[in-house]
Amino acid sequence: MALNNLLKEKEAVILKRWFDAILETYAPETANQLRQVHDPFANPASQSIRQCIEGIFRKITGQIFTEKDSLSLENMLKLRAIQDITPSQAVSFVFFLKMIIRDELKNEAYSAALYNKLLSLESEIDETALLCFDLYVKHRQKIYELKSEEIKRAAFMLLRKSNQQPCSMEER
Amino acid sequence: MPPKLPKPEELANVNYKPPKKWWQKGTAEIKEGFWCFGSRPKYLQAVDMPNPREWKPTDEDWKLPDNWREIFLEGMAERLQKYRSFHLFMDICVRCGACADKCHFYLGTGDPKNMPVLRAELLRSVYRKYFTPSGKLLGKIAGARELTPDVLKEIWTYAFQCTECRRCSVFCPYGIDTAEITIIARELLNLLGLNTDWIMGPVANSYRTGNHLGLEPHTIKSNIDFMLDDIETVTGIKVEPSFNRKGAEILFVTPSGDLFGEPGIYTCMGYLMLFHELGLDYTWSTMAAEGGNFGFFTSNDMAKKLAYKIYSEAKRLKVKWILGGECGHMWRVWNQYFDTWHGPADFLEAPVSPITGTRFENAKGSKLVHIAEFTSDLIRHKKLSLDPTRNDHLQVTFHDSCNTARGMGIFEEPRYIINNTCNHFYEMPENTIREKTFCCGSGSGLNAGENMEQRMRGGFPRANAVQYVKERHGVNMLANICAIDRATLKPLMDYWVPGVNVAGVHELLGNALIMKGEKERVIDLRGEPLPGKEGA
Repeated sequence: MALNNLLKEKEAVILKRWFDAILETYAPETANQLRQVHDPFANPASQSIRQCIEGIFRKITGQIFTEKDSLSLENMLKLRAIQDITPSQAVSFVFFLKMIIRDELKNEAYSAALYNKLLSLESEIDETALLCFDLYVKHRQKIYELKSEEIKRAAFMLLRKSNQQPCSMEER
Repeated sequence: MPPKLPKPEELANVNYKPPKKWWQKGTAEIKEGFWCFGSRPKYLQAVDMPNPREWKPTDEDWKLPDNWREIFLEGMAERLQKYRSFHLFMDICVRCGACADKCHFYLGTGDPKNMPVLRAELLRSVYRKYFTPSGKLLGKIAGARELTPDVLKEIWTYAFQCTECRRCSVFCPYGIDTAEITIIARELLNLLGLNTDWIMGPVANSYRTGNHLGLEPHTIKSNIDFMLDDIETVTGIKVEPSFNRKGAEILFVTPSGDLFGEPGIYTCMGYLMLFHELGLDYTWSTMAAEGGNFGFFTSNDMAKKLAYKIYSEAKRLKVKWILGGECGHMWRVWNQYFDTWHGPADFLEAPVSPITGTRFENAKGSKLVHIAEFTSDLIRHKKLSLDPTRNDHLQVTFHDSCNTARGMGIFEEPRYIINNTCNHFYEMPENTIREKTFCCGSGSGLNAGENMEQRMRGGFPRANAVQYVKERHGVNMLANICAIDRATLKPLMDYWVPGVNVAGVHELLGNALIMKGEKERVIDLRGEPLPGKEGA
């Protein structure tokens, strides 16, 4: 059976294990809350995690990676970029998938045909991790940009008076 | 012999599970992005508050007075006696957890100590130890703990990770107002000089000049002159407001952010245009040019002291009543505390709209009318000509500010104004608006720059709901009636939902308002072309 078909067959199990593995990195009380509350507005972090891992799973199994998936990946990394974790922890969740897939396919993976495919799948997971790292850095930089932009907005009239901003509407 | 190197598979075996910590130990981790700078001594000296000194929250030594523990506990005893609500809130929580996942900071940080119940428990455990027989006798078993320097630091850390938004209190079956617990915790910390620069600066400025930004009278006037020039460019009409005019019917007070920052100034332009169009007999004051009251984030006494400047100025100018602009905590203080502190304001008259004759019964004690009530009453009586098509490029949603929503129940008025000034209005999901509204994540003096990460965490649930209406309806404008929202939702949107802008409701009104004698409008109050006038 082709690797992608095998993965699709085990999709629900893999996603559940991946989600649980991510929750393990949170405090136990928070993990419970993330697991139990399904309303996307009452529990936005849980929704971000779910949508992101589903998107990545689609991407690596050759399914259509939609704009929505891309947005959910962005959202996940936005969240990781402001949470109280190190850069390596922020992207670590991608690597969990490798371990889980290896474990789930341990009986099938050692057939010669599948083994090579599994290696390239793992490379794809590595690439996704790098993409996540780029997004993480982008959002960290955004935080500093927000700080400087906010100062400019707060002193908008001062900047106008000192000709650092267009002084009148005609000049704008 | 060289040390044994780990094998690759051993290196890869990283345990991501956080260690189990017993929360009662009191771990004061002061982490970057969480905290605001400690107050500079000059601000504390300006208002005669205790323990002015240079300090930094990350310092090991916070330079507390030797008898800090006594000061804290005596302060607590005094407040337990003075405020029955505080005493009750210390006793009656059954830790059912209904509030736990209602806090935006908990949802954004994932830190269990940001559950309102646990945040309150940090102070409650100290209460049990020193004020209840069970806590005194049984200690840890009864959930009591000593007030150690680490416990104090922990209380400080979490008292400044709560925006006093009161969303948790909506869900509490006992009606415990966790915001009030935070308020008292901050009061106690203030007895030791533990406040933040971002809060104390505005307090000291307000005390000296009458506004947070420390704007002198000539600066206030010249800022408004700039806006008047812009209004003339947009409408061709020269608006001429008065300042410090004795005998005016109404004193208008708004947060000073509207006079200085962007996009607040566009809301202020909306007020100026509206009052001009009505021919309202009103005046600005350069002495009490601030509705906001950061004293509210330090202590009851400081808030009371700063609040009086408004009444004092109304008395000096001999106005009949006071109209207040779009602001959040300003209205919490005005609506819930003014009457108790300084009422009845019998030197003023019960507010009556000079245009519609409506008597604002709800404000007959305090004599303070919210501009959303005033304007929606005008629209209801068809006193304004409005052209909502000028806002047709905007797909608008409305963020209920915590203070006006949960603090005074203003839900319909701003929506009524938006629906009459815009053609495209979309509500966010039911559990994120009105009394269940999510906080901007930056209220109660947390809108500093150094804690930007924390603000983005706190604002995450709000932004998530905005993202939903953006995806579903193409929303590109987040309207609100709060100056702190106008300042802080902008970076929140830039981070989480790029493409969504932020405006006060009276900016939308200013754009839609058809003024007598105006020229054909081609640009909006921001100088951007109006829909269909792009080439003009």
